[in-house]
Amino acid sequence: MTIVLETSGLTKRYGRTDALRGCDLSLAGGKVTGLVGPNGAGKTTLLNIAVGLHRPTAGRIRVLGLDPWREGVALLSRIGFVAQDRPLHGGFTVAETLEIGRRLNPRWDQAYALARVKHFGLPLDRRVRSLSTGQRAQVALTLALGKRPEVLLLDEPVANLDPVARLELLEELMGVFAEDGPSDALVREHVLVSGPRRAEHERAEGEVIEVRQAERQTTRLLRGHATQSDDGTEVRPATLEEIVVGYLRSEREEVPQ
Amino acid sequence: MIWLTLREHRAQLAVMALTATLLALGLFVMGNYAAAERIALGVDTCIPLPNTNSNCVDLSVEWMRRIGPAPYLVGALLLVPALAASFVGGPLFGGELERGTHRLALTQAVSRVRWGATKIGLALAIALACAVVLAQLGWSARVLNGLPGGIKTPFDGFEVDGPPMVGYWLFGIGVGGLIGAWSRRALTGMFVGLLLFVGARALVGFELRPYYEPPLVAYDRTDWFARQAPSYPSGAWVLHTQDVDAQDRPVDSREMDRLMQRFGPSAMAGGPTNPADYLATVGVRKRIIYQPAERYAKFQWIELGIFTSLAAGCALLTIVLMRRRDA
Repeated sequence: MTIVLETSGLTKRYGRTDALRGCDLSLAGGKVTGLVGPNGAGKTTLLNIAVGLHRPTAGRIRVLGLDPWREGVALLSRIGFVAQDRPLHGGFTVAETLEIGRRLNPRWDQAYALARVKHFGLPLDRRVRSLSTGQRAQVALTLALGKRPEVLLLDEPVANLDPVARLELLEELMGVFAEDGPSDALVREHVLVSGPRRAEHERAEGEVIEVRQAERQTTRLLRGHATQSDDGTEVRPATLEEIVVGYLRSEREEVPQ
Repeated sequence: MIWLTLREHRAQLAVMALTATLLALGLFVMGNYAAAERIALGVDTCIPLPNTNSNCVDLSVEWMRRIGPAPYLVGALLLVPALAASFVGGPLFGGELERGTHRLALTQAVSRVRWGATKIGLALAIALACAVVLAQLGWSARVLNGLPGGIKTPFDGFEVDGPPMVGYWLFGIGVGGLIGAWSRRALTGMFVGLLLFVGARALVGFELRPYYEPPLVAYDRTDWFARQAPSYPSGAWVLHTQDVDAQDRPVDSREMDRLMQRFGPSAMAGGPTNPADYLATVGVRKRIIYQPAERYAKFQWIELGIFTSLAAGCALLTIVLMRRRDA
């Protein structure tokens, strides 16, 4: 199995603060990995370095065998990324936002992007500013997926979403990976998701592959298998969020559209 | 990338281009009108009546009344590049870095250099187009300034005429862009960019421009007593005048008092009876430091060179900053 992301001794210092210290990671392809940790653990820093936005202070990082800082353009045509807070141009329409992807990425799949936007009922001529947070998240994700990336990196993709939208987005992400499969890939190799909560990722029956703790940082990595069968059932107490989601969903299904 | 830049900044760029177009149209129309009225009224061919020139002044006043607020267009010509510096240059990178949308562009398959260079390059190109059009209208600014009548020197219209205008526009966008990129704040880019623009303009205008070439020196009779029409070299830009003695030492009023105490005895002894003539015989004269009119064009190109270099430096620094810094 190929290694899609590999770091050794990766360190990032902002002034006197160590955002990331001596991070050693090796993520194999064909997986969905959750990057979990409290605020300040260095999740965003790691992802920003992985896409070449930030330059590591020390250590080494390779994504798909490329150095993100030096070989950014070559790498970025092969990976999809949604940054924290999902930055989009508020004044652009949905169609114009997709146009950014089309014009700036050699492997852009416009047909797929349009189909995806249509699937979520996002009007092409609406300005991004006027969309709901959930819709905006879908536009941002479409922009990342339209590149037909081999690796998809998402920085807190469900932040600020309501519980239903949050769950749907995560399930959909798993679906993206599972349905298209690692072979004929929408996201061929890997999905790396960061988030402060464990619950979402543990749902996918995550296995803790690594727990790192230092004085000021805790980064916990979970590895989940996207193509899980449903035969295994798990007994555990339901979380408050799951109860809320269940309630909201049942309500919604009863209301005629 | 060009498409994205144009789409992203279309409002500011369009307003800038539109403002420049309207200003150019205004200058063209009003310049022609003012020139025609000037001829119709005969402002410049007026012959003063004996002992008064009130007839000519009246013509000038009537001309001013007819062209109305048009001279403000000349002020706008000075103001608009500063506004472009602020409203187009400041948010060019500052706004994007502030909103975080640069992370959107920079995680597509586009290099940072291409991204930065396209943004600043396109803004500079549109500013250049605006400036080149406006630079053709220096004649109108001169007419509206009322210079053809009481014209002393072409240097009076230096900043609203031809090449320097182009330099100012480019520099404005460059400095606004750089400060916005550096501070990561649109407002800081707009405000500090504007301050630096005005500061650089003032510094160059007052401290550097008078010495683009070593100024020339001429001497004339002192006008300490008799106010006389100055016989400056025609069209010269006079930087400094001072009464000096034969050794070029400045003559202050105390020194003048000392000299004048000897005027009486000197006249008694058969010297000049006119104080001005007396001062001339003791070597007091007026020193005029000036730039001759024929250097005007050369100075304009020097000014263009300075501001274009500054603009290029700012643009380059912006790209380097974007290239090297964490996004």
